[in-house]
Amino acid sequence: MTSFDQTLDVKGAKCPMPLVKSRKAIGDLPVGQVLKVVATDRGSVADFQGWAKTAKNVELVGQETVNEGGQDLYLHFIKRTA
Amino acid sequence: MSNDFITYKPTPDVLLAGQPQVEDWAALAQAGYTTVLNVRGDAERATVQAHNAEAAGLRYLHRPWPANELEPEHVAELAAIINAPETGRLVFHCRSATRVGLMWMLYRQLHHGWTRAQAVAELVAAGYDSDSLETFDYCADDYFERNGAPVAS
Repeated sequence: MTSFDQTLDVKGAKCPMPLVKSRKAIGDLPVGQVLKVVATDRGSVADFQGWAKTAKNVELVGQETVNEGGQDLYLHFIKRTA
Repeated sequence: MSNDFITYKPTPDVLLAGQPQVEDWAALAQAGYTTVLNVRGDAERATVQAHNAEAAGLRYLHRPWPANELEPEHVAELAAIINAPETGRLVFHCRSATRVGLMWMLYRQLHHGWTRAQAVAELVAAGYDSDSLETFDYCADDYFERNGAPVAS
């Protein structure tokens, strides 16, 4: 499991809400810290990859899929870089 | 159209849509649509889609506007595309049709001077559910917090 400093739960949120909430949350973290985002939207995997490619202040340091109670959870680890 | 192709029709000339499948391009052309606007970020997928859509006779535009941070210039570019004579009837798509619904709502507010209630009512009439409306509200609040209150143009 990738290490992280804070967690943001966006289970049930539809695109683009997980990204908007993550952008706001990462802005509250000190540079160098990692935000773990927990999503249920399968499309969030590509969405977070796309965000990390274009954003100047974040790096996607990990993505994982876990199953919790029969539900797939998509975990995204975003590091604030600037 | 394919069974899992999500569509909403706020006006006769605009279809807000999720990801079309290969078999949908010809069906969209047959239904009278002339231009496709894709806002998804994946350039490789867009290249394949452009080939398939153009083979069906559709004009194809790819604008990977950032889902997490829409700005007035993105909505202005959308307005320019909608109002360009060469656009004709438009298929405006993302993955699940939620982001394009949000952009349509912002377009109505910013370029037609609609209130949010008017814009939401149009989307509800087109078939968007309460989960989508919650997303529109949250993301529109974020947009206007960053960019100021809507002004009709």
